[in-house]
Amino acid sequence: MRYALQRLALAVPVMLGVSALTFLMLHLVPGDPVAAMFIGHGGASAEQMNEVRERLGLNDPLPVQYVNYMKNVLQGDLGRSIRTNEPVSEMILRNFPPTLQLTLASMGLAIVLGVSFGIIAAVKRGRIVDNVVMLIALAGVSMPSFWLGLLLISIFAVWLNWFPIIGGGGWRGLVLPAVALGFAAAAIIARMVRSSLLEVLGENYVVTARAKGLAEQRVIMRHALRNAAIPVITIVGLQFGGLLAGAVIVEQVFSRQGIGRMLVSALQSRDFPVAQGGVLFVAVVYVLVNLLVDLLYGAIDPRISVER
Amino acid sequence: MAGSAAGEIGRFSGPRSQWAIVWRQLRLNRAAMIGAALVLFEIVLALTARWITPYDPFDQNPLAALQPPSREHLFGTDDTGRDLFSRVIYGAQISLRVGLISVGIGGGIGIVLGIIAGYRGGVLDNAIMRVMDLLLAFPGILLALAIIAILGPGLFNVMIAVGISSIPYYTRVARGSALALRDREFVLGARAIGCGDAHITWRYILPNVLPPLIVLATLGIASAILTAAGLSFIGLGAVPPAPEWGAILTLGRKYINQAWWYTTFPGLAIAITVLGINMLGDALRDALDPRLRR
Repeated sequence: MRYALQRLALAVPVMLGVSALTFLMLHLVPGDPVAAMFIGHGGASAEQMNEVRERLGLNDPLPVQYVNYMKNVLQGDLGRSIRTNEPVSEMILRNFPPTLQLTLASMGLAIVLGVSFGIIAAVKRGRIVDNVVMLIALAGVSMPSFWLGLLLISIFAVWLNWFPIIGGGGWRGLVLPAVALGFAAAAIIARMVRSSLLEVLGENYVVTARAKGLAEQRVIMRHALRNAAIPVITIVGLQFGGLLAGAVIVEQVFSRQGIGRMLVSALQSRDFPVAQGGVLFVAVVYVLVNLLVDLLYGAIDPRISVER
Repeated sequence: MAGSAAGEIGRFSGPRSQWAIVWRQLRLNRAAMIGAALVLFEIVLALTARWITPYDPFDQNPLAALQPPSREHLFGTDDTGRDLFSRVIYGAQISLRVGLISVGIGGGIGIVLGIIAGYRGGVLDNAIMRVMDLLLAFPGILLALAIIAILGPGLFNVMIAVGISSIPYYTRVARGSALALRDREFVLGARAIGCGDAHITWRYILPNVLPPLIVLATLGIASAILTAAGLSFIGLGAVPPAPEWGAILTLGRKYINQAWWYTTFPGLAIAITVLGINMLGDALRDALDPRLRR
């Protein structure tokens, strides 16, 4: 319990820092940020620019702006879109569920594929199966998700017609985007499972388990895998953030609704409140997930909570 | 006098002999050699693009639009009749430049900050590392997106964004190594004979923190190429008609059900480049890690 509280206390300054950085985004824009928002939108009259400046509170001193910003953020008010005037928090609430769905689906896929192929490679170490799995894993890490997405569309949507081209609605629309997003993570997890299993397989308790005459399957599942799981969980936790951010690109490939598409269109049209709100939201979710993984880690490996 | 004595002390740490061992390890590693060959091939293509490409990468020819691969057009043509082979080869120039410049920015700043943090310690160390923790709180591509929000879209801004978002990784590794070296005999010896901090850092700390950072930088080039192509693909980086691989893929996406070659070759180019660099980077890591030496 003390460990959990300590870990929670550590997350607070990080969140404050993250919010300060996203607050500063607007102020780091070279030149006049309000003028930058209208570049490529036919410019704006001095009156319009003043109105936006007033709405964003840019006429106040910086510390006052930050305090106001934090007050609003804590009340769930992330401002309004410059382009559509819609509240940013509503845009996020609408766009987050599909992104979360995609992230979780690709995470699940990555864990199932990564762990099973990692075990196979470790057990068949040095054989052809191991080499093939590791080669695919290396290719998986090197293949851009957006290209894999396009390939999957060409093969499974255009040619075989098994799945829709546009990745929306229902599980059928989720399969290809989840594979495109999760493949690289599966490759990373497979490599991690293989190497940590190989390390554990040489340990005394595994030798003992074998000497007792346990079946190989039981040795791997009961004794080896459980101990190899610890570094794997860390990697899985780290991958979650990567997948959440990677969804930005995959959502574009499959024209899927989500935080990623919202962010990209905000960046393209320089809609600052939306970009700020989206970045802050994803970063906070990531910090919270890491917190969760750390707590889980403490629960699985009793040494950690005792040591600290 | 002091300089030469310090030189003697420094030589005991023996960077030269280590590199000889590393080179021998790499030559024995088949994956390393394949990776190196791919990378070298790519560099040659990029450098000789002007002479080996049959067409200008920007030349449009509406009469030859969307033609499949043939003897005239090895990789086929795009929707405006531009030769995709020429565009992909020119794309290698852009991608290598993006990789090197991004890693130069991230590695350059990150290593300096890491050495300062590790060597000086104290408040400065704490301040630098807390800022790095903050940057790491933005997952994956998100920090680069935030920086693009500030700087605006464009290939050069993408390089800066990708570079800055990689700083914390270099800083962490450099700090760890510098911290371990700070109290080693050859550093204490150099300090005892009156060498200044700048001299010690340059002559004794930097060469010894470099090996793990070289691995990081090699793999960093691959991930910078991947990220930058991704950002161009979503319309935040290179702008068409630039023959950037990610930007070509964006254009090709519209023709995915009639021209498979349009997206296949630029994507393959990214994957092969990144694969080659990753293979080389993995092998370098194994060669530099004494525990894994064969």
